[in-house]
Amino acid sequence: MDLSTLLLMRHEGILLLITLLLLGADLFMPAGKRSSLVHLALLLFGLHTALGFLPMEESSLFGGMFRSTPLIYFFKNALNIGVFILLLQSADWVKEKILQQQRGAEFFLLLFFSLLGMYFMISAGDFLMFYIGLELSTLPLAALAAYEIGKRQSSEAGIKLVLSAGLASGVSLFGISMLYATTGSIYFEAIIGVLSSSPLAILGMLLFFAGLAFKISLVPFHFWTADVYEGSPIPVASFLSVISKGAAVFILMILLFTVLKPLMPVWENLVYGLALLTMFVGNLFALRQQNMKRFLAFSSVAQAGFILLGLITGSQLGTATVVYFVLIYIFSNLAAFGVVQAISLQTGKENMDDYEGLYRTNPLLSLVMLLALFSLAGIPPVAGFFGKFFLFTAAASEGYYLLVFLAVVNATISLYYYLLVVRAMFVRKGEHPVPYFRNAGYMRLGLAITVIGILVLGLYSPLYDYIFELSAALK
Amino acid sequence: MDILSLFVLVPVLVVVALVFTKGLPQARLVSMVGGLVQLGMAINLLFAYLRESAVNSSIFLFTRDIVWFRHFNIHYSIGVDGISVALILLTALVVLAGVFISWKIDDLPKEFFISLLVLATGVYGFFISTDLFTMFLFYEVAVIPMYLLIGIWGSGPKEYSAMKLTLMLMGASALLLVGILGIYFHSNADGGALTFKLLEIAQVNIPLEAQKLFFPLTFIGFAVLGALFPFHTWSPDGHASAPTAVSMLHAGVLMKLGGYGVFRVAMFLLPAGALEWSWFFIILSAMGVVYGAFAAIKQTDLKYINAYSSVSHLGMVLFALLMLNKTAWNGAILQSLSHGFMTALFFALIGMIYSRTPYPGHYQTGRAAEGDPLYFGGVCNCRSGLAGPAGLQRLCGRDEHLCRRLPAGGPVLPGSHHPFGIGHCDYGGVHSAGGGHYADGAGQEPRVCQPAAGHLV
Repeated sequence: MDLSTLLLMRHEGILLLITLLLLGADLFMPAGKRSSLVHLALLLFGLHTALGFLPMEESSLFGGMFRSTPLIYFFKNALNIGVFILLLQSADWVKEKILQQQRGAEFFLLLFFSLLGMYFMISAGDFLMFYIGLELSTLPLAALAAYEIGKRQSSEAGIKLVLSAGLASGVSLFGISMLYATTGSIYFEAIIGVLSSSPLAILGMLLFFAGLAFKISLVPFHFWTADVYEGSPIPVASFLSVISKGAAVFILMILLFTVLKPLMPVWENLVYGLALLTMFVGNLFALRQQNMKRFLAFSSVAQAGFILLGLITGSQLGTATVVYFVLIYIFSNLAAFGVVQAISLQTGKENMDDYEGLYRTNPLLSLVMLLALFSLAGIPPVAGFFGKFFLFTAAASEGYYLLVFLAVVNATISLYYYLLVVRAMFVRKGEHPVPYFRNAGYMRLGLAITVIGILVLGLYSPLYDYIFELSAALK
Repeated sequence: MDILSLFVLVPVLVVVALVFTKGLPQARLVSMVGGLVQLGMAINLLFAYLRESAVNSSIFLFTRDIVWFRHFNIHYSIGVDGISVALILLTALVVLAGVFISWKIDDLPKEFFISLLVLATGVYGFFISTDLFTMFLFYEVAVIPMYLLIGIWGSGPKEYSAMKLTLMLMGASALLLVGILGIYFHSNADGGALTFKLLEIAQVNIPLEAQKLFFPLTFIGFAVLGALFPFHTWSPDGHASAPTAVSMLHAGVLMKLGGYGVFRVAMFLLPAGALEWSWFFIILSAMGVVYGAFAAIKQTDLKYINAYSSVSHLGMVLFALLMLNKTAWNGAILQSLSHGFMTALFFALIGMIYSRTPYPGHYQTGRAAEGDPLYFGGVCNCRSGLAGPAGLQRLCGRDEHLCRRLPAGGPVLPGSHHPFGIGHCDYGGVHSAGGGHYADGAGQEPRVCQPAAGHLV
């Protein structure tokens, strides 16, 4: 094997290097200057994100265990951008809350290792690599969720996440073993040829699906979502709802559209049912949430239901619309979480009532939130509209008109609760509005990037064309 | 830049300019200039259209077509015919009048005018679009600012009304979206490529089964905005709670989007479906005509009267459209236009009366006539316009309805509540409020009336 082929693992290698560098810096950094860890992390990760866009060839490593295609690079780059924005938004939180407690690099270490796990999961060429990636991406998150040591809720979130994640990955592993039993291989390439819809294979597929459904928090595997989001620090909730979910959607799509394609008649119905269930439960539960983190948790459950509309098609169009939607979702949801984060950091307030009158004291912040919510709700001309419209088009292309109709009904329900936040911010004056404050530079940059994304991603059509061409790889 | 894209660009530029303004005087000045420019453009478009249509016999003129999303075959495709030109002119007038009537808006003036102009952008964009996707996009752009406009600057149960209006209209767009996608995926029935473009779809023979399925979806999707009975309930609440300029725009222009969409999309693209379903929707719209009129008679609030009367009138427009012949369509469009002008004027006058009297009901406005003859004259004039006596433009619309098989008595109903209203106003209870109370009119307001009133005759 030529060593240069290891360059295919460029994303993974650089990220590992960055993490080690940060660990070393943490050891040797004098106590007074620990806050420069944040700058260092941002700088290194920014470079890493930029390097990810360098062109790379398509090949596989380790006898097919690790695959790299342009579409997979695109996934990784999308996740990188998301994590970069998230780091910008959480920089002040890390500085003020984390570094003060003499804990520095662990936050980045855990975050980056989780991301590393996602890289491996997406690039997996066999179920073993996939499973290792899945575990590596989930376990650090449990530690992150429990990161606010002083808060009971945070510890609760950590233990909840690790228990349910452990159960889910166990179930998934059981499913994988059944698939191995019917096909005699764990390599995706080998399975594609021999998988047939025997009862054991179907059972294996169902169990395997359940494991990923947990990560995407599809109903009925969503019970951990709201509690964990509420308990964990906001950057971690944001990471769970955007990055972790996005990565799981990508790998689920890859597996459904290639390896599990022979079972499509089965999983088609499964996805149909789960889509309806997820949208309705997510939306109806979101209606009555008061805590913004719980609110966004259920909203992101509902968004996952919309994503399933693209997955049901199994076509190039479906792939392209799902990737496009997830990309837009990364920006929109990060914008919403960013505003929640900014307000929580300044005032400690996290309830919807606390947002009353926000526009009159903090107009820019409210406008960012408005754009984010409109994008999540799918209101033109912001990007979310295009993402949703294309997802619906993909589902309609296979004749699922009833499903599309019910999905748009759900979009209307979701509009109601997004408007509740708009109402609090713009319409109501509030007795004790959040006083005016100015965000630190990193936070403003983080929010600005999301706003640009929300405004541009939809209107700029060549991006979609590019994604569509990439998606030809998955058919 | 072509003559039509300017109608989207100019309001957007005005919005951008408004972002940088400070305080009410600057904001309203910028909006006024923007409104005047739009009106100028609309008049220019009218004459340009008249010149061009003499030599060019295509359905849509000033067309332009840019590929937007290649893989979906979505185009930014624009063009106008006579109907859209007239409706654009109506929009420009009402927007300008809306800016004038909001001359003294004190709470968050900049944001008010921005929302107003975003709404206008959506309306213009809708009228110039000849591609289903862009049409749908602009439709939603036009609806969503209503939430903020009513929610922030409205009165009465404004939060409730704003939410109800937005959700009902967005819910309707659920039907519409499915209808549009259905049309899109059957636009290759003759072997061509899938397309969203109106003219290309119109030449395709969409299978009858699909037409039967998707016509009601598309029709109801648009007709909810045209206050089709029984989906009209957003309209009275919304109109009554909205600030004056928004009621004007909404009743005058936005509701016309519904009728226009029904005509341009549902009937134009799915004619066989229209033939199948027309009986059903004729019944609904006739119910709307009668119901709206009777409901208006019983109202005591001027805004509710006009809102219900709009339901009735728009029912008539839909009714005529469903007759599926050219004479009735002419009537429907003329009715749309004249109702647009008059109802906007009426809402403007109601707004003026409201701002001068603490009482919302028309029983209480008894002294209006003594206080300021000009306004009262306007109210009478406008109401009689709606009721349709000879000489006013609306009669033409009405007559053409009569040519159709309208149930006897139908056309009289929408008008009948207006004389009631005038009676109440004129001879109603005498209140202690002095006549002088009404006279401190803002200098701007007569300016609103003149263009609109001038148009009636």
